[in-house]
Amino acid sequence: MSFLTPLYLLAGLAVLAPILAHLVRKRPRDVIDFSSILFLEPSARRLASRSRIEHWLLLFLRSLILLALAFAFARPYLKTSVQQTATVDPGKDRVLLIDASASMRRPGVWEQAIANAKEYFSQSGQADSLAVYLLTDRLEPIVSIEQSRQAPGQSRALANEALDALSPTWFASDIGKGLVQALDLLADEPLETEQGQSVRSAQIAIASDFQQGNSLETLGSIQWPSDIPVIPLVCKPKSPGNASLTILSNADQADQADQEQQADQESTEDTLRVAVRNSIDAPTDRFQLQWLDSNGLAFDSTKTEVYVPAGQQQIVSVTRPLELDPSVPIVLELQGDEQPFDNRQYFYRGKKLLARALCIDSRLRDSKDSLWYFATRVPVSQPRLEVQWEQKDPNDSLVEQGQSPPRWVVASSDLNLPCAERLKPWIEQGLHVLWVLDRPVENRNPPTADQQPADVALVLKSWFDEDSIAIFEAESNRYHLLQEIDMNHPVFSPFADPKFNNFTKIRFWHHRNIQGFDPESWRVLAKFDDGQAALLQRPLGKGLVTLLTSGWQPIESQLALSSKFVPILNSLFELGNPRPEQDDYHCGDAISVSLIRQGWKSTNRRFDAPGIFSLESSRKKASVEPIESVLPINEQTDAIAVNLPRSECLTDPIDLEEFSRFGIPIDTRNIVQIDRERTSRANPLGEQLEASQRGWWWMLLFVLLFAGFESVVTALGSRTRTIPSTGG
Amino acid sequence: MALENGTQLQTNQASKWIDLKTLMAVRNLQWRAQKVVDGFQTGLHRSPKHGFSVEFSEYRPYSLGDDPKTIDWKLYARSDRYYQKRFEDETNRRCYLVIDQSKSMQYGSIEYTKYEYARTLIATLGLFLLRQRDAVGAVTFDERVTDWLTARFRTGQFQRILSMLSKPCAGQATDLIAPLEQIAQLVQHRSLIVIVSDLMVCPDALKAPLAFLRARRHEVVLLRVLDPMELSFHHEKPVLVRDVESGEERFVDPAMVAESYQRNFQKHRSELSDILTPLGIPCVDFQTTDPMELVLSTFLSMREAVGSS
Repeated sequence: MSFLTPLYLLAGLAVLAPILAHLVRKRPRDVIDFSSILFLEPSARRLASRSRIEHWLLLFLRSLILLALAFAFARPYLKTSVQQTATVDPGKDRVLLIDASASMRRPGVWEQAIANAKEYFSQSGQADSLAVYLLTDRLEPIVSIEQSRQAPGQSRALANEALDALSPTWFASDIGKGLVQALDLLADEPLETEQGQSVRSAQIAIASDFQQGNSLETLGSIQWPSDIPVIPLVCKPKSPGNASLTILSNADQADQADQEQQADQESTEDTLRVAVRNSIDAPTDRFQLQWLDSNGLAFDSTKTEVYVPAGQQQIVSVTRPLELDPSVPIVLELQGDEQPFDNRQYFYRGKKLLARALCIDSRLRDSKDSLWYFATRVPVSQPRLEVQWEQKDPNDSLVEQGQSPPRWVVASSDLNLPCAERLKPWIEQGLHVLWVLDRPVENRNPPTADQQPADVALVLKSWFDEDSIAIFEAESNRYHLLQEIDMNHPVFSPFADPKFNNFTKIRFWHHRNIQGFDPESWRVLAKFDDGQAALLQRPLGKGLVTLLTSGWQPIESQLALSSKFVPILNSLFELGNPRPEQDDYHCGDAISVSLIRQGWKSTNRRFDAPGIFSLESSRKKASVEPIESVLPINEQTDAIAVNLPRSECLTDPIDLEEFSRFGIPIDTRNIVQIDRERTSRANPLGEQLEASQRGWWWMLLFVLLFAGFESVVTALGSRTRTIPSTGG
Repeated sequence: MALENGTQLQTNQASKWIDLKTLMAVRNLQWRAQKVVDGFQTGLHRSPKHGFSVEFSEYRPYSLGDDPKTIDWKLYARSDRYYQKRFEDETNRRCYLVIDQSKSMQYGSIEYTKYEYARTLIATLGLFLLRQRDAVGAVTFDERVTDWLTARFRTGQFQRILSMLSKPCAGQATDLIAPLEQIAQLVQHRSLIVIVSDLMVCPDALKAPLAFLRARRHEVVLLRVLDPMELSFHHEKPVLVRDVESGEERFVDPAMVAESYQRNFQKHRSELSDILTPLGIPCVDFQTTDPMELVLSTFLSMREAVGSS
């Protein structure tokens, strides 16, 4: 006879309980009143001698009940010859995810992780396959599942060897994503042995410090299979506590600073807001902040004292060294913390860039009928880019002596052919022109061949060399709405969500019909409900021309007064002027193409270490070339600061119960115990035999029978028992 | 001793006495007392004092300073000598019947409780004494004096005593000290104080209040009422015994404790005797199965003993 879960047989020891209970002198159920216990000495309860067990039958029945219960839980089954011949250990897939994030750099953590991993592997059987994956914000195979299955016998040696070669990175970790990817990998691989007889079981272990920066939200998107347990191998640092600092960016400052602090923004350039966070188990609460140069040397002995109680965060203002140029890269160091990996913040803020924007319109600025009035009220300036608007008459010179060429042009119907021809070279070099046809044209019908083409047609002809374009005024007996909006285009993509894509409140009173344009060259972004193009675009050289066939002024339409005007105009501006390259990166961020173009030399595709890196810009070498004047703004970066991912600074451990919230069977018991249990469970033939024989079912039947018989015997015994009468 | 004597008396006179079970089965306390006292109609208390009464005591030659009114002038006429004629004085003694109403008195392993027996005894004594023209009072107590009836000889006194005894007793623990001190302060005149109790208290605690009573020149008689079970504790099986007064529970194996119970009981009794004998206080133990007549006769003999002392 064998048992599927033999450990339950230990429950049979419970049979001692009724034996002891029968041996112990019972507390008398009968209580008698007596006048005084003055002369009565208390009698000690004592074990009755063997001969004094009064209810042998009851004791026997109760013991049988307990033994039968223990047998039932142990799931007994009788071995057959079939089962005896097929005891091949199918082995299991053990996938170890070893967390190599920056927080694992804390003293003692990585060594413990490796030791835990090796111990975990030492519990594996010969047939088990051991795969190792490096867990950062993605999974990196060290020994893949496929590799480990190919040589299961050597799998342990292979895995141990791979572990020794590993070291922690500076990346963030994402356990949720890692688990999902590991599950996908297991699902991709076939789960049957070569014999095809039994199903291999799988198990995932994570050697990590399980710090709070890990995101588990990804796990919410999947249904975790109940037969794949996750074993946490928790690593703890040698010394508790960790403090970290974060220099708040401008956006962060705007979020966190209140109004009165914004009023004092004159000193923003020199004063930085720094968030210092202290962990819950921190032994100290006093720290110092000191400025270092990019080589790690202190500027002076000035230190800013910070008091942060354990588990809290303080935001302090730190003044940069006064003699420094604001654009010089600088390092802020947190001192007084025993975990050094996140104690430095690298800071660099590039110079603010200026961009000229022209509004070609002959109307008065203050008139609501002018383009200027609404266009200049749209905040197109960005943190690193300041837009300066200028109004120009189409007949004026567009660039004064010493001025740089404009980066954006918004033109009204006043744009004439000479002005357009002046704009053309800039457009070809990358200028974006938004041309708003905000005045009615004389023609009410398509012009005939003998008619003189309108100015608009002439301008377009000069730019695109298209003869067939005809412009005439549309019927204005009713208003028109926008339709067939191209939500895939960057201008309208912010409105793709159904919550925002209602354009029916924007009514156009007048608009111009434009016909005869080449539909392959021009991209129509939106149409009016009479089928005429409302917003259309066409590239010209490196630049772009966008045509709006109606005005946004109230006399023409409700566009300028609608809530969609600002995002549309911003998107149009950014079409020609992408946001400048950011200055601060985090380890793990992808290196953009523009950085590589500017001379970033690295074999990696991601930033893999914190620090400040200057760029050897190729454009500086070719500064005399005229193309420099229209070089995209986003390629004007001198240096970048790469910092640790913020999530890595949150080193407080997460509650492992969080995993069970996502239905993941977390097993925190002893690894050997789990394995033993899993082995016993992974006995499919035994399970089949047990299921067919239904031994536990018979045992439960015995339990019921014995219990019934015991009840009868007890009832009979109580009926015959005489209760002595008491006085009173 | 008293019990032994009582047993002899019981065997000799058992046929004359009323069956106690039958007597206790009657609810009317007055009827019980009257039946018991019938036959004890006569009897006077001998007074230690001489005075005027019908009972002649002695002649004694007159000497100077004696009261001239005691001179027997008839004898002088016959003998020409002065003689004083002395009579035995008949006194109406004050007697207080004190009954313990504590919870322990509520115990009884037979058909009736110790308290039921004790109040029958008190009623019997009361009727007997009243018929002797003694002033009889009654006191009930548990941890303090709960009811008080001043000793009087007047019509309806017996009814008052009966009415007092018919009140339900709601006492808890027995505390003899405080009630005895109260009694000593309340009883001004020299009286006979008959205390009916089970005396389930520590003997040492009794010494001071009883000595106080004796110091006030009261005569004290203790009638101790005990249940047969209290004399020899026996039970078939181990049992949890609950003290009716304190509520304390104690696991008791009768086989183990029977001997020690007897030893402790006798020790307590001898301690009681050691305290009462020097004070001149007789104490007699009665079982609730003893006939009332036996108790009454024992009481009379005790009174005589007390009176002669």
